[in-house]
Formats: sequence, structure tokens, C-alpha cells
Amino acid sequence: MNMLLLSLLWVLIGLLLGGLANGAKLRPASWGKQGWRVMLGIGMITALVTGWLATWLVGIQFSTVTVLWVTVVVLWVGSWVLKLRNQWDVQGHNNLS
Amino acid sequence: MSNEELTKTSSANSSEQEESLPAQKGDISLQKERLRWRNILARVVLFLIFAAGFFFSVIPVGRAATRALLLLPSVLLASQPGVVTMTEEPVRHVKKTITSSNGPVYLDVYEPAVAAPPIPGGREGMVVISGVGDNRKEPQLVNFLQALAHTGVVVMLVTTPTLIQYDLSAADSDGVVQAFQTLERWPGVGANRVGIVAFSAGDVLACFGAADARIRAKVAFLTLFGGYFNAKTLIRAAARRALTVDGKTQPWNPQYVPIQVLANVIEPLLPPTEGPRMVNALSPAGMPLTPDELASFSHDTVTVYHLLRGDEPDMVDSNLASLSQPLQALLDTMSPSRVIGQIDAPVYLMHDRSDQFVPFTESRDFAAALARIHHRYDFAEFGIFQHVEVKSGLNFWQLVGDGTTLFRLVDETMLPGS
Repeated sequence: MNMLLLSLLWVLIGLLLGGLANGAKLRPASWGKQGWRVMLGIGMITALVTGWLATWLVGIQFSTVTVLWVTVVVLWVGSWVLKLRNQWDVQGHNNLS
Repeated sequence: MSNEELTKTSSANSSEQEESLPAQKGDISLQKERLRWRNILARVVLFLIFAAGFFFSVIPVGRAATRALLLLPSVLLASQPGVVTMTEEPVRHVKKTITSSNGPVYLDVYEPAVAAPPIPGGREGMVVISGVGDNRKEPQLVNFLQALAHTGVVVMLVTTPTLIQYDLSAADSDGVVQAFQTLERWPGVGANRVGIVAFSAGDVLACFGAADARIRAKVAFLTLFGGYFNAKTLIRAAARRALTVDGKTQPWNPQYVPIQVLANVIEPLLPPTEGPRMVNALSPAGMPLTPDELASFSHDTVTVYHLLRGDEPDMVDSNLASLSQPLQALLDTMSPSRVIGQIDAPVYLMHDRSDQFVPFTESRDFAAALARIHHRYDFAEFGIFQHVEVKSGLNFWQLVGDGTTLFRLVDETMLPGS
């Protein structure tokens, strides 16, 4: 029961952080108009997976706080890496042409 | 589709791509320019969430703070709030009896029911000595022990037949050492992560145990709540029915328990026919000693009787000084002040200012003595407890004020296991 409630909490945290990442304009423009949904989805899935992994690795007391920082890192660094890759793709294309 | 049509479609797609790529490039550069205050604010919030999450789950001081924050509501509210227990581990209770040089030692172990997580490995262990009397079913104590175990600590409540009979014996310190060593070997408990927590008169045994050569280098911390430092200053306060605080005298009316314990400790050194009579006379329901009895009893019995009864407040110092050498030696032996130089672990002292069992000046003296020998310590005074139990009917601001101080001490106690 505890784990079910915690999983719901982590999903909520993931959605909230995904929403904040959207508000922070972190998502790559290449994701188009539906990109905000992708951001929420990534936040939600990352938070849920991190919560379960953290419960096993560091204990249940630290799972929720671990979810917070890992999800932020995944959202921020992930979107930054994607943007960088897009830039490289564009530069590569320009060099080729 | 003909070859000609395919060629047309392919060339159309490639020209679209060529047009969209510079546009994407333009988007990326424009994005940086288009960041508004709300975007920046959202980034700041995300960074703060990251920093807080990282601190409270990775940095040892932060991990200790997380566990202290989980523990604190249970201590302050004397119950375990449902929201907090949701993020805590299930607990199991194990009873065990071991043998020491002074007889049996009763252990009640409260431990997380699941295996220790791989990071950081071993769990923190706490040997808890709850003081005199049989407190093993005391609701506030059981709640505290369970709350500690919920935060991942393996807690071992230690008591002995002597303590249960409202008595103290220095020989019981062997029981504390045996319990400490048992907890060190307990499955899941990490090396050098075991500390001792003592309440009230349990601090005597805790100090003697922590100073014992067999474990003194291994004790991670020593946390003492509402204990005494020196048996003679405790008797002096009880005899004067007053305390001297910052140079001013204030009344102090002790409860019966400390009088009873002191009488029980001293009784074996009094003549066999007088000791039990004196102990009975000091009890709330007991008849005071008659002038005839006082005239026939030994000097030690009469002096101790007056000291503990508090009926000669102006003669306290002379009465104390006139006690026989064996009694003086006993009081010195039963004082934590005797062993503070032999304790290696950091000492955390807590005391309630309105304590009617042990005056808070005892912990002040303890702290001052530790400061003099440059021993690592921390000391906090509270107003929300009565002796070692949380008072009822406290307002929010009292809980917040003392809760913050309590958090600091609990945080320090939680650090070795974080």
C-alpha cells in the first residue's frame, strides 16, 4: 500500500517537474507543439523509475528526495543534450551542403 | 507511382528540409533571446529542487537531516503521523536476554524488517538505556524506539534487574558493554556506527559503558537526556530543595523517584536494620523517622535521611561533608563526572529546564566540564518536556522553537549512520 501511494506521489512529482521544465523552456523546439506532453511524460516516467530504484539502492527514506534531483537532472541534461544534437545535425548539414 | 513522380517528390522533400534546417538553427538562437522572467524563475526553482534533493539524499549531513526530519514529528507529537510513516521502513521487535558479570541484561530490539540498502551499506545502531523502572512498555518510549527503527536505525533498549528495581549499580556497566557488542554484531549494523543514548539516571551506565576500554574507541556518540553529572551535586539540590542558576537561587521540588533511587543506592552501606527503615520513611506513604529513631540511628543514616528529606536546607554542605568515607566514595563512584576524561565519543546533552526529577543544572555542569577538557560536545535546554517526556497541551510556537533545537541534536546523533 505504501509503495502504491509513494508511486502516485512520484508520478505527481514527475508531472510537476515536467511542467516546470516546460515553464523553464527546456524542451527542444524540434519536438514541435506537442513537445510539452513529451516533457511531462519523461518527467513522470523518470520519477517513477527513479523512485523504485532509489528505494532498493538507498532506502525508502531517501527515495522521494532522490526522485527530485534525478528527475531534474534527466529533464535538464536530457533536453540540453537533445538540443546540442540538433545543433550538431544542423551544423553537419550546413558543412555538407 | 512513376519514376518521374518519385523524383519530383524526393526533390520537394529535400528542398523542405533545406528550408527547415536554417529555421531550426534560427529557433535555437532565438530561444536564448526569448527567455522571459517566468522562464528564468522556473529554471531557478528547478535548480533549487535539484540542490535540495541532492543535499538531502547524497551528502551525509543532509541524509542525517532527512532522517532527523522524519523522526522529529514522532518525538514531538508522541505518535507516528501517517504521512511520515508512508516513507518509513516496516519494523520488527525482537526480545533477547544476555548475561553480564552483574546478571541478566534484557534487550528489546526494534529494527527495520527489510535488509539494509546497498548505499551506504550498514545501518546505524543505538543502545538505549531508559533509566530506572521497567519502561519497556512505556508508550512514549516504545513510540520513540519504533520511530527510530522506521528511519532505518537498529535500536536496542537495555535494562537490568537493578534498574527495574529503581536502583543503580556501577557493575551494570558491563551489561551496557555486552549489549553494545551484541549490537555491533547484529545483522545489518555497520561497523563504527553504533552509539549510546541514555535517559535520566541511565546516563550513569551509558557514561561508564562509553568509558570502558573494551568499546570506548568504537562508540560513535553518546547522547544523554535528563541525566545527572555528579551524585553529590544532585543530593545537594535535593537537600536544599533549591537550585542556583546564573548566581540566583530558585526553588526546586524533586519528585519522589530521584529520592527513592538515591536512597536505594546508599542503603547497602547503611546498617542493615536502619537502611530499609530509612528508605520506607522517605517514601510518600512512609512514616517519618521519630526523634527516638533518629537518636538511635548511625550518623550516616541520620545525615542521609535529612539530606534526602530536605528538612535541613541550611546544613546541606556540612551534612554532605560529614558522611563517612565509604559513602563519599560510593557517591563519587556513581558519578559520570568520574569518567568523562575516559570517554572518546562526542557527547550530546539535552535537558528540560523544568525537570523535577534531575535538575537541569546537572547537564549544565556536565557541559561546562566537557568544555574545560576540550571534549567535543553539544548541549541544549528545552521547555517542552517534563523530565524526558513531551508535555501535553503545547502550542505550535513552543513546538517549533524547541523542535528546531531538538532537530540539531537529533541530526548530530543521526550523522554516524548517514
